Amino acid sequence: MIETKDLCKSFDGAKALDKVTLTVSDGEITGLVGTNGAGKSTLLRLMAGVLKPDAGTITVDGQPVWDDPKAKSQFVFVSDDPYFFNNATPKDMADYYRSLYPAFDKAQFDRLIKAFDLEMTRRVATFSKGMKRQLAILLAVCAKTKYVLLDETFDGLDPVMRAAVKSLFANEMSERGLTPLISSHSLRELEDICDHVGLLHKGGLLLSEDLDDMKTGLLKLQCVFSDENDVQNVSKPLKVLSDERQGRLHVMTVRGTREQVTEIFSHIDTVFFEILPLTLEELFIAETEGAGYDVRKLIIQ
Amino acid sequence: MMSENSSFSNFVTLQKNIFKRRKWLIVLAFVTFILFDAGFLSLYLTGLTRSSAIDAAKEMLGAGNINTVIVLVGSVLLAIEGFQWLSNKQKIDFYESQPISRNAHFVGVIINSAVILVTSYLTGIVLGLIVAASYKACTGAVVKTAFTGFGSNLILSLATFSVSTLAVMLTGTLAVSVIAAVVLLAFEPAFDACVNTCLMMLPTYNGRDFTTHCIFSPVETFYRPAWYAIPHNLLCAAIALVAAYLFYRYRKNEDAGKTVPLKAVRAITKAALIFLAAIIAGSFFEQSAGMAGGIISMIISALVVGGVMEAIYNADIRKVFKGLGFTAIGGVCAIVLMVFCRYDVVGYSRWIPDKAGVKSAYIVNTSGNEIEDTTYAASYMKLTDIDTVNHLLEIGEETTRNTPVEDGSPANTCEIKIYYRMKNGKTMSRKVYIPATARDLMNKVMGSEEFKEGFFRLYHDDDIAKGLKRASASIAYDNADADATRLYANSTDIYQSLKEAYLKDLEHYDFDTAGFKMEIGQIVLDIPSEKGEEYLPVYASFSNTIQFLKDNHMYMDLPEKEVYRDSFYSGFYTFPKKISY
Repeated sequence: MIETKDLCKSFDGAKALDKVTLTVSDGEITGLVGTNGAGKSTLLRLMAGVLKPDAGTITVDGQPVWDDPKAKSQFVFVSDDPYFFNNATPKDMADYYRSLYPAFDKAQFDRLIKAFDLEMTRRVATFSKGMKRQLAILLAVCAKTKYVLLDETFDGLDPVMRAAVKSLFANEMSERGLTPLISSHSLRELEDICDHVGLLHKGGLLLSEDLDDMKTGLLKLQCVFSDENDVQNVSKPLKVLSDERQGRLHVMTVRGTREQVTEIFSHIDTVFFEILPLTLEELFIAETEGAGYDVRKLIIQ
Repeated sequence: MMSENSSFSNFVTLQKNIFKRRKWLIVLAFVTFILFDAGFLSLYLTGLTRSSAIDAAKEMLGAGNINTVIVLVGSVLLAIEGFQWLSNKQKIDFYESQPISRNAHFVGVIINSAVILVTSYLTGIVLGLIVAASYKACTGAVVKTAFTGFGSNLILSLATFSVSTLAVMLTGTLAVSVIAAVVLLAFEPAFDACVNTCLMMLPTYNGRDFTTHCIFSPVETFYRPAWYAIPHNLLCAAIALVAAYLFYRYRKNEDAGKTVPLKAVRAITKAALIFLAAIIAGSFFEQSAGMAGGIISMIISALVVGGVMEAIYNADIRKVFKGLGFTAIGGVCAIVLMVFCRYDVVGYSRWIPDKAGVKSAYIVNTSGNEIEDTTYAASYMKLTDIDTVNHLLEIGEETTRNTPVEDGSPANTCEIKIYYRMKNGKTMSRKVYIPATARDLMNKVMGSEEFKEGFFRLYHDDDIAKGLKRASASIAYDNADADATRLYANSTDIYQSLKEAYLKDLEHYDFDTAGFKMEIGQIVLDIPSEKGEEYLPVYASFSNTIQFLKDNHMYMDLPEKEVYRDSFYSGFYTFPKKISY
């Protein structure tokens, strides 16, 4: 696992990260979300050993990562603007990565290049931005390291490519236990891929939760009461985090299990009642509103 | 790490990767050296005689010419290109996240650069020697010169590369790294020159007292002999490389893209460059516009240079007025130095040493080969009559102080430099004009055996005597008539006789001779390859020497036609400057 503890980093006196403690568990996809300037890239660059922390620790499988080739051999870092050698082709870059990561799977790389419709012998400098990002992801995945750190790599990929990459990650995770860590400024990008999500804001970690745990404890309900006074009968036993009304239609977010909610509503006379899935965004809003943050302002739509 | 195998295999893999990304630089290095050492040499040798071709091959393949320039420029290029990834955030993210230790990367680039330079230069030399051989100009001496030059140029390149690497570590962008490399390489000689420019305003400053003995500048060693240049460049390389490594470890990767990340470096560089610029401006304008004009120009140049530097540091033209404190420091230091020198505030040109603190003294004149004369006198002239020398200095300083610096040497004076060997180990010196009124004092000094022993090289002539035994050595006499042919002795075996006759004539030599009588000719001792030519002035009173010349069929009378000439040997000749006869 990758662990950070009380991580601090400042640039020219401005705090970029303030005592960030985060654990990236093996075999999970971890997402890091936050607005521009929240500290996502800084955190990833610290984890990748590119920057040295001012305070706190970062370890990869127990090894401090700064200037440690053994720790760095456990991951590939794909920055938001990946670098390729001048006049290099995908083949040249693959050869370079193979020299750095002995387990690099050239055969898989060849297959994936074809699958993603990239040309092996075409100069990378002629690729579009999206194609460069695809290439960077493929190189990272084929290096067969334990972790892959991706900085806003999904941002800018078209939906088809995004789906393809998600599928690739899923395969790699199931086959060899790859652990991706992905940062994004959009919750929607990470919604259906991440197992664990962290929310960064102004250098601090507001939230770090497993999505399943978050979803288990929170439910979204749509209902129309026969008698409006019955609202109190819901809010007493259940913690209602939000209640939006459109006429007589209530859209409520409540903390509780499905069984609890079903049991309570079985005793209430409703015209209409339905339990709906919560989006990641709604989960975050619900979790952070209580802490006084309006996450709508924190997350780019 | 790249592999769990040996660190040697990792090193080899790293080198292969570095070579791959520096392909264009490797091609450029090989093409440049081959073009100049083989291609241009071939063109140069075409049509030359064998002996000329040999000299040409030595010149082209040795040190101190085009190869030195290529090596210097190449070293700067290799350093800046090798570490240019530190100036780019994209590349920093790429390289620093890879399983390669920072030390390995640092050392890897240095070794890679050395391999590129050595192999390309060596290839050029070898091909050049082959070309020379094809013109029958590849002698042992040419090979020796080529490889000696190769060795000294490599040491020079090591120093230049190290200083350039330090420049990269102190800066954060490519363009500023190049500027910083030039500044570091040229700063010390430039500082030396600027300070000496100010010191030259002191009437009695002899132009040699202040030298910085550069630490970071291998440029200073261009005109120094090998025994100085080689250890100096090695030391320069060691200091610069250690400093570069320490800054490499200390610098932060987030500083990529900042022109000069460290505040202390910014401040010191700014103050230092402002100092130089102000001195240059002040020296230039003070001559035409007086001290007031000079100071105004210094203030303006300080503000301009300071503003430009702040704009570069901050990459923002609006920041030109930032950091005025260090602008003031640089400017004020320059103004203070210039004023101190111009008005001799510390009494430099009134100094007379305490006799008790002086071990001995020596005097040189300022014509002829001053460096060699000073070296010889420093070794062999030990004037112990310090009272007389001090009296001479006092008169000389008064005359010199009353002479505006820009007027040069006044009429009816001779210019000399007086050196004192102090008991504390230091050597102090002053340059003064000696007037005719000091004739008696000068006679006392120049008539002494102590003076003659340190002025005339016949007294310590092992190298002359040895050199004259060489096959192409010669002894000749020249009566300074440009139309007359120099007369040569039949052989150099007569040197001892010459020496005997000349030393006998020197018994009557003094300032009355050297200062007031024109030579009638000079004896020329031509010692090839090392000493060059030695000259012995011949005066009308040198009866023994004249007889020697006549006995060996070398003597020529003075020309009958009118000839205007300066004294062509003795810097003590004073009155009058030119004669006709």
